[in-house]
Amino acid sequence: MRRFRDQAFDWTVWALFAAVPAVIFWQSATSLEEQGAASGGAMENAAFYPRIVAAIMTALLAWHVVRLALARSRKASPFARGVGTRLALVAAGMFVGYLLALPYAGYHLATPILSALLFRILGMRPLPAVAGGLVLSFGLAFVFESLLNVILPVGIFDLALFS
Amino acid sequence: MFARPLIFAAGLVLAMPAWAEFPERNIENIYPWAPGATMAASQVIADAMGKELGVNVSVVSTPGAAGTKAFQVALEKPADGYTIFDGYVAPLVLQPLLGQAKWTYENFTPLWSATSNSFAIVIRKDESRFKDFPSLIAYAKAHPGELRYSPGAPNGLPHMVAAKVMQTSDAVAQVVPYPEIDVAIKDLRGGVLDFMITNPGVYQTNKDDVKVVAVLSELKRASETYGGAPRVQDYGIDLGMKGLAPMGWNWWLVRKETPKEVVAKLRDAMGKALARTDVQEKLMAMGYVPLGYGPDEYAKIVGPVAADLQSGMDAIAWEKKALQSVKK
Amino acid sequence: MFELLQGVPLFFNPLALAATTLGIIAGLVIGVLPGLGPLMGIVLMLPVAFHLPPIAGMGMLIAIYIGGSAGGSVSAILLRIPGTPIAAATLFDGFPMAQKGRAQDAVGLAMTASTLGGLIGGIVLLFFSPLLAKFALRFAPPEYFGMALLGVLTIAIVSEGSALKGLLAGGLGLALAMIGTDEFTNAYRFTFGNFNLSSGPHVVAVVVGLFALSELFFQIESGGFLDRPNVQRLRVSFRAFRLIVHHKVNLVRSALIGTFFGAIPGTGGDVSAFISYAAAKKMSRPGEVFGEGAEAGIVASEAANNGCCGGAMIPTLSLGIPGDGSTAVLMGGLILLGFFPGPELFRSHPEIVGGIFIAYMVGNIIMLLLGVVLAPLFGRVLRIPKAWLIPAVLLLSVLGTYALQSSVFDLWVMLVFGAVGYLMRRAHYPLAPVIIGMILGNVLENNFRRALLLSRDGPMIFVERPISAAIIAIDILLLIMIVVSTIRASRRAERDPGPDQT
Repeated sequence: MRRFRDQAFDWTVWALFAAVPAVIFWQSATSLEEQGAASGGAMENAAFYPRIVAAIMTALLAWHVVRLALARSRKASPFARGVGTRLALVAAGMFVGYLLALPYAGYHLATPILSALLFRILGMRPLPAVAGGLVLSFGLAFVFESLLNVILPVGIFDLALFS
Repeated sequence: MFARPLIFAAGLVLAMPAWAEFPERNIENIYPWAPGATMAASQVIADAMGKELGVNVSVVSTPGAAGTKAFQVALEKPADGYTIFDGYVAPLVLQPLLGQAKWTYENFTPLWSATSNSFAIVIRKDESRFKDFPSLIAYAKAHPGELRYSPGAPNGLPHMVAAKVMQTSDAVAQVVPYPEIDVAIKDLRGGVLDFMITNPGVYQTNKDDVKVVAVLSELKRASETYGGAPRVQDYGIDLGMKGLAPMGWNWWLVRKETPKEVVAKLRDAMGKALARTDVQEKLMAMGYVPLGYGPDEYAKIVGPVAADLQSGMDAIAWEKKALQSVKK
Repeated sequence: MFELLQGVPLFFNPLALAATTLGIIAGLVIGVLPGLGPLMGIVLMLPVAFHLPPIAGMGMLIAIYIGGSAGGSVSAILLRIPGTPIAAATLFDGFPMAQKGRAQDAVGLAMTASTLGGLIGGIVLLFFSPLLAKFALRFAPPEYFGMALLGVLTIAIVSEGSALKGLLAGGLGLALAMIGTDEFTNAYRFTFGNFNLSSGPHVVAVVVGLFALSELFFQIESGGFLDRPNVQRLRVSFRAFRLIVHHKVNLVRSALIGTFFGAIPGTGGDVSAFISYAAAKKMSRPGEVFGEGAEAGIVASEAANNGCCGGAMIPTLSLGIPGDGSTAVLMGGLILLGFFPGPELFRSHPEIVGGIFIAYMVGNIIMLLLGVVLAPLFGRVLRIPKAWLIPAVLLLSVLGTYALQSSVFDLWVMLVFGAVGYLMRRAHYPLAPVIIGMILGNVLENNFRRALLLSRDGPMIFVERPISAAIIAIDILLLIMIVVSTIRASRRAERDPGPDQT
């Protein structure tokens, strides 16, 4: 069991990578088959090359799992908690919330809130955090909206400041 | 002390749409192909239209899924007139026919038609095996499946007209798809393709090295964009596709639910932009013919195209069978 | 060639010079912003150039192209964010170098290498344009397949020490490139019915996620948000000129690799940067540890990706066939201004071709001056406490990625790959192979299938054509080399199970 704990990240990523050929084989046999694109010559077969890549990846993954199981990998990668791991997870959660809210709230509402909160949890005092959030998000919006003509998400309130 | 001005500012921002007049910000034109010569044509119109409206109209290239990705993206945006569909025939009419899109041309409110571009068959200038359309066809007939050609992307409009020509003259050539015509022309000039279908934009930049053997349209103006080259019908080939059907064209559109006043403003601006002679000259010089159809002619023009495209789809199916039968 | 001198008066006037300088500044800024690269820069500024006289307008667009190709290196070095995929190779050594307190040297080197690489590319453009253009025409699908395979195989070299993990990461990249609409059947492949995936995940969203977002997570994890990092004292200096003299062979080789890849339409700066990095690594001198802040690594990557600019202009101007995405839009700009590129342009408007060429050369020189002056300013970024920097970098990543195609979906892609990048780094996987695989995947597959369609005797087409046969032979040799050295390395590891070596 120690073997697994020492290589926890390595095993996680192995599982992640193992999903890739699995998805390729599965989708080739189902979705591409239904679309009539999983057999025939170079023109018709959209599954030929994916299957080759998936086969090579399977071989490499098999090799790697043997190495992992025999503990041939020289570098340990245990799950370990750093000083800020919890904070980083909180920040990541906030970012997920931001992405969920962005299409509805619009850039000019969601972004100052996100950046102020980020400033705050990274240790700045409330007032500078709010001010920093406003300056940062509106400053960047100015560059993108008025100088580069990008239309930022306007949200349900149709908010656009600089374009 | 800090909160009050903030609330005031927020209130101001929220109130803005209520009293502002359209357009109060930049407008996007969602263009369905990769950047290149054809996008330049849309840019010319967008630029002129932006001047009429007093805002920037930017052309956003959103390629993918044979043009339908751009439509999907634009459909996700609100129906407020700030998003224009660059309604190319492929995503607008063709893909729905193929069952690859769930809309029809009737689901949109038309602005003005933009430009049309006809297709043509080109060969290398120094080609020795054939020099014109009849000798090309004769060679293809004598050597079935031996010649290699590209219509750019497969199953698109250029592929349909090409397959139709081959079917009508009962000749078979190996089709080799490329992501864009712009990419395929290099391999025609490099000698690995024997002929191909081109559009005027690509022809203009390569005209020193390629020769047009037949223009794939019955319209006289189409031949003019290829320096007066002969049309297929001049060789007695009936394409079976009339008017706009065998051509690439685009009609700028907005979502159906867009407010009437906004649509009126957009139509007015686009009409004025297209009426400018310098805009027309610029488009013509690039090989794109301004169509000049107004919003009220939309149904009359676009409706019949759908019927004609069916025969193009049948031609591609025929070509696939024919190619399988000549394979050893 | 002398007719081209007619371009001199067209270029050397206040408006054209100002437009070019502005273009360089805009290009550098756009390149520094994560997500936006030279292509987006040119697309975004096209409407402005449209209203200038031809040479001023083209000068500005070309300047954005040059500046944008170099600007990405700054954020790669300072923040571990390659502003563009083409700067991803610069990050390997640039970031460690900056972390060791040599930020200004790294930025200075990157700028100097970019400029000199660009100028070498320009000289090739001037003298060998017709020759290289003709050669480029002989590259057809079989040759592209061989070249793409070469690029994929370099993954094993770039990620030496963990070739197995590198190849797995490359496999992930190849798999990502498969997502979308198949070019031959129009079938939707691995899209799971989501139209946002109908042209695959955007490579820039993946790059920003893998590199920048994962780095932000690491930064928050390690704490110390209000500390002021101690960095090398920064002032305007010409030290980089002295440093680069030590790398002259590497510089010229990398610039030529870049120019060559630029001249072959369809392979761009990103690939050439990785390949010249791999070449420099293979030929490195003892004492240079690549991946830990070797100057040569920065020189190789930057000289190649700016040499590529000159290269990509060769087929654009002399054949009318754009060398990459950016030159395709440049060509669009030229058409909008009323000139059709191609051999005819050289005959009918030599002054325009000449003006463009001069704009390209002068643009490079302006960039060097600006780069030297601005390097201390850029370097100062590292002294900003993390509490300020982290939100700023996050927002820059969000805006830059969103601006690509006005898509919130791309932000989710960025987030997902931020997580993937974090896990991969924790498990000691190299990240760059994902990008190489993703860029080359489509070139590899589609040209393989296209070659088979062109061929009448199946795979024989790959060995019947001389250039293709030569490239395939190199591929096979490289493959044998990689297999042999991997087996040797793992034998050595078994004998000596020492601690962490890379």
